Amino acid sequence: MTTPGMRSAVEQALSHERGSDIIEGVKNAVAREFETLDPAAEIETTEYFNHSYVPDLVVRWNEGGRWEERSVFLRFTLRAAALGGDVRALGSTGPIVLTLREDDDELARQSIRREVADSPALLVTDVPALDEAASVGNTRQGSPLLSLVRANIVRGARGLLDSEVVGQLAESAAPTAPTDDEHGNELSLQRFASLVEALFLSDAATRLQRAANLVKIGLSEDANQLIISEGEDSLIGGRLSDAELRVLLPYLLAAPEITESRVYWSYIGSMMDLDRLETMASNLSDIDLTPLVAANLNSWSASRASLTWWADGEDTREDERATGWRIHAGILSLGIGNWRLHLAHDGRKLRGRTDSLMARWDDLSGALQNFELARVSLRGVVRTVDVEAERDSNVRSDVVTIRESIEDDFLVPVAEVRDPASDSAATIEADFTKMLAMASTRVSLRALARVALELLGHRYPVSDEERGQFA
Amino acid sequence: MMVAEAEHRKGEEGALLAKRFLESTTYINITFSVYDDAAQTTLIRLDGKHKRYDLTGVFLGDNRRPLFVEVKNYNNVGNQPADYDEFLANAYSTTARDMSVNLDRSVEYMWITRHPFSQTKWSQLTSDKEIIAALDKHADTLNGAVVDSSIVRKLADRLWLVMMNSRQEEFLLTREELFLVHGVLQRKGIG
Repeated sequence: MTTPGMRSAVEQALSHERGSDIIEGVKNAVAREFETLDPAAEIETTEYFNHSYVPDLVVRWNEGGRWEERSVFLRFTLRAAALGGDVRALGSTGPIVLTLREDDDELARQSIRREVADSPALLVTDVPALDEAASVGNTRQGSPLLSLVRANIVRGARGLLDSEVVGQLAESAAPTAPTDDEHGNELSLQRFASLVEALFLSDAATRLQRAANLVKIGLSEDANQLIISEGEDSLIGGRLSDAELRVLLPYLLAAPEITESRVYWSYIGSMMDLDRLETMASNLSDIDLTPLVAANLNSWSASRASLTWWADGEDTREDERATGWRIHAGILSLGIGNWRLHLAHDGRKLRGRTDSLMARWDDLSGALQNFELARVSLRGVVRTVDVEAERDSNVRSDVVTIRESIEDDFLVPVAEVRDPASDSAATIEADFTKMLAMASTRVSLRALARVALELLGHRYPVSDEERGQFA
Repeated sequence: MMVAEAEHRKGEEGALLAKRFLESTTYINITFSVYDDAAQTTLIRLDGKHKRYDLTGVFLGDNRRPLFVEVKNYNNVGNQPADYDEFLANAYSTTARDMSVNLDRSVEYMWITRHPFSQTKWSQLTSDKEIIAALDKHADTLNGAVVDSSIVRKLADRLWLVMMNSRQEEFLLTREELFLVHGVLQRKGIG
């Protein structure tokens, strides 16, 4: 499992003749390793080296809009850290003490092990251990738990993390498909949960345990039953961290052995939203998001939808017409019938077209029967009429009266509707010239998708079967 | 534990206390100890022999210059008077050697002890006179060169003789407090 990585880079740096070259080489090697472990973090090197109270590096990261940081103190050996009293003196601020050379001083190891128990936020680790942790594959096929362990070390590991402990974590975090050995998986994941509880700060441990639980249930053949029977007590809810979204979600979506249970994916969806899905769009390219999105059409909200005809633009290549919900150009998208539907949490991401034709009232009026019409603009050759309700009510009957009393062929640039299936009082404006559906406040994906497909796409309706998913 | 190993640990412990003491002044970063990387704590004398120190580091701030430290964990006078003479002679020799190759890095030398010695002439221990006397006793360090009074003068200004109590740590600010002070001082580091 060991790769040359930081270990050989540090060894090479330590072989330099000039002290300044040693310092620069070591710090660069460590900074690179931390970037590998935690790509989203910012690493700053300081102007000090091996100093007793000024860190060598500072790691900063943004978690849910809040900036946090952790100091890194470099020491040559575990023995130097032990004899220098670093754990007791630095423990209160919860830094990382990273030793550059392996040493076999068992007295020092025992002393550090005792001291870290009284400094619950501090991590003592060494170059070989971090190298082994960093070498854990971060692929969609590899264990997501190992990748999450790796991603959490810099921010949340504590205690004494040496090569032996990294090996134990790796062994316990490699679940297999249920058909292989379900009982073995269960035991491994239990072992994993107890290791992360001991080795990670409370928040990180909770996240890792939750991830282990999600994988366990996802691999189970009766995921529905597990979600329902375990209930709130053993399922840890809350918000999925950025690292979990980046690592766990692609794994769960791409692994064929993970359940497609709607209950399961609805539970996953409850810990995130479309906004966060959009922020990690680059991690989700080529992945079919259908289980996740289909289970959360009612609970996730968006502000804007656009509808594009396949033949309209460059999106006509067969490989771009892959089925199911996917990320396309950074936006959630569904190929449906001859249309491509986009849904965006942030409306500014969808600008729409400028040259689409207005709808003909006579073509549109049938489709509008499924909605409450709040406002419509009718443009005829002779007259232009804007019909708007003072209060929440359906103005469709007024328009029908107007249509019957004026002999004209009315075109509709914009219609504003409410979704009768939704509890929300929000209105959705269907702009036929831009082929955009825009909600006054965010509404469910289902409501926006219905307006887009049934009103914007009224000329070429999708099949009943395809429309069924939004019923 | 073997006696030699116990002595080794005690020596490293003493060196690390001296390191913390020096860094607590906020003026110094001790970057290497002899236990970390012996080559970095070694200077070359005029006769080509190597002189190894316990600690090396850098004075911080605008006037950055290297520092080499000899740490004596003695609880008595011990062999300090003779060892100190050797320290002075070595300091002259390594300084003169640097100058002979036009590489005067303005290295400063520090002797840290827990117990005073040569008390009758304590205030003179870093003087020109003591350096010259030490060179008389350790002529081998000169490798046949004549003592240069200008180098002696420069060296006298680069010598430090520091007393450190074994309970020194109890007087130091905690590292957390020192880090706060460090944040206020914004002293330039080793770069």
